[in-house]
Amino acid sequence: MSEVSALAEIAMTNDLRYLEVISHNMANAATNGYKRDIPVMNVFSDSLEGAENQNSTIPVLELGPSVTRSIDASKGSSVLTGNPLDIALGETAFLEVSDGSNVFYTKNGSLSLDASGRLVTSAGLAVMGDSGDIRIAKNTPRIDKQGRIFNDDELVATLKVVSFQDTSQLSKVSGELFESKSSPARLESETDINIRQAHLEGSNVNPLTEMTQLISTVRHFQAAQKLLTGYDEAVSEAIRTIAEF
Amino acid sequence: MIDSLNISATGMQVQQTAIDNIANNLANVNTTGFKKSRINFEDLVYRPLTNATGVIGNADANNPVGTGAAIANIDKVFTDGDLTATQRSLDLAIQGNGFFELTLPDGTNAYTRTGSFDIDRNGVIVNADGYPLSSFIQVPSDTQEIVIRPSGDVLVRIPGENELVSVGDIELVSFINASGLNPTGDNLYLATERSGNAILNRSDDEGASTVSQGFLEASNVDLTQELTSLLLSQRAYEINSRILQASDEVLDTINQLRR
Repeated sequence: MSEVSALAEIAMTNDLRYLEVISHNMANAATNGYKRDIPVMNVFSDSLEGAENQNSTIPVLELGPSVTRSIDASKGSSVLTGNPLDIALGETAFLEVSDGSNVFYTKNGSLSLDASGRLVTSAGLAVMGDSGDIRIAKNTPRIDKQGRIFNDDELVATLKVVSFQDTSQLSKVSGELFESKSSPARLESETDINIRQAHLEGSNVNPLTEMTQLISTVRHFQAAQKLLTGYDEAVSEAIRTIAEF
Repeated sequence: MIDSLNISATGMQVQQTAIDNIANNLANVNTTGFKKSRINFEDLVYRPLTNATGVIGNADANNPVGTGAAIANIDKVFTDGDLTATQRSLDLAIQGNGFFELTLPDGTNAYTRTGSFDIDRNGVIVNADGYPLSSFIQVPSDTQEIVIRPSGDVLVRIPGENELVSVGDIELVSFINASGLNPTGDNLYLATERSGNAILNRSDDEGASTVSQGFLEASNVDLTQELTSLLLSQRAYEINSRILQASDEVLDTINQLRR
């Protein structure tokens, strides 16, 4: 008897998750290099299968859709900033950065130098080059399309630009960083790396998409609520009529 | 309650700060030597997304959901401002990435790009707030003309001398990471751990900064850029407030579950 209300509850909880993902995207609409999350509703049979694989007994409450999230890796619009340490990367390209012990990947090319002349991201993580950290004596280097950094025509370092065959292997960490389970491939060709100096890549959030999704999510939530109240009425009607016997 | 309320609130907060920053840049559009600030945003913690039944352990554990946006840092952008000719002998503009080094009353140093200098009653060259250059330069009381060479040499013409007499050298300094300087108001900056220590600018180095006499450096605020950012920030604020409203509507729907 409780299955209908349980299903309606699952539908509503999933809508709330949807709402969280949409809010997170919109909150980061102005975050440079942010890649939007796509909420994915897994249908009935998928979650059933998932449950089956995990253990032999199928829990009844798994019989509903569940929300997962994937990363939309498409390119954000790029903006001219005029700052020589800003770089925009090609569509599939990521910068490799390190906090000293862990390696992360980022699309945010808003770089600067720290007090020791090391090239760092806006969060202070060291940007990796061919041979580890990159040190530049001047803060006005020239960076070419392949990621080679020049100080007055002298090659100082080459940025380590990588790409992932399967972006679903990436997971996000705070501070616009990505972690990867599989190791990435080093990009070599100029058309793939395609670095533009003095530009920044904006976020790829499209307000129209998010707004449309927001509307449909809220309406779906209301529909599920009607389902639940309708079911509630039916049950109360049943109780009343049966009691008349 | 529901997280999207707080997530959209973080979005509104960062946009609010972005608008504050634009307001400060625009207020200083005519401030000599002012350098615009730029805000960098970042996304916030990703926590595991639990599915509807609260069971963690299938694919969802690898698909954490984010919790909003925050400000990563606010940096000064040290691109050059336009030079405006003033014809005044103690108006100096720096070409290149150098700074003037001033001595504050407490003996510490502050740095500035604003080169509007004066002479105090003792003949010392001071900035508009009365702080002397750290390479303390004093001109004689009967000075008729002050000539400052691009290298920073200060020469004066005094009666009875045919040649110009050198009275000192304005030393310029630079920083490895100028964006890390701490702006303290009055167009002054202090050195920090992020900026590193001041490096003395030697005039014989290639690409060294030079001083232009009779010019002032205007602010580097770009009106078009600021207004575009203002528009975007305002709209981003608005759309986050819509999401807040939608979350509120959802809460209202929940409240109507039981009549």
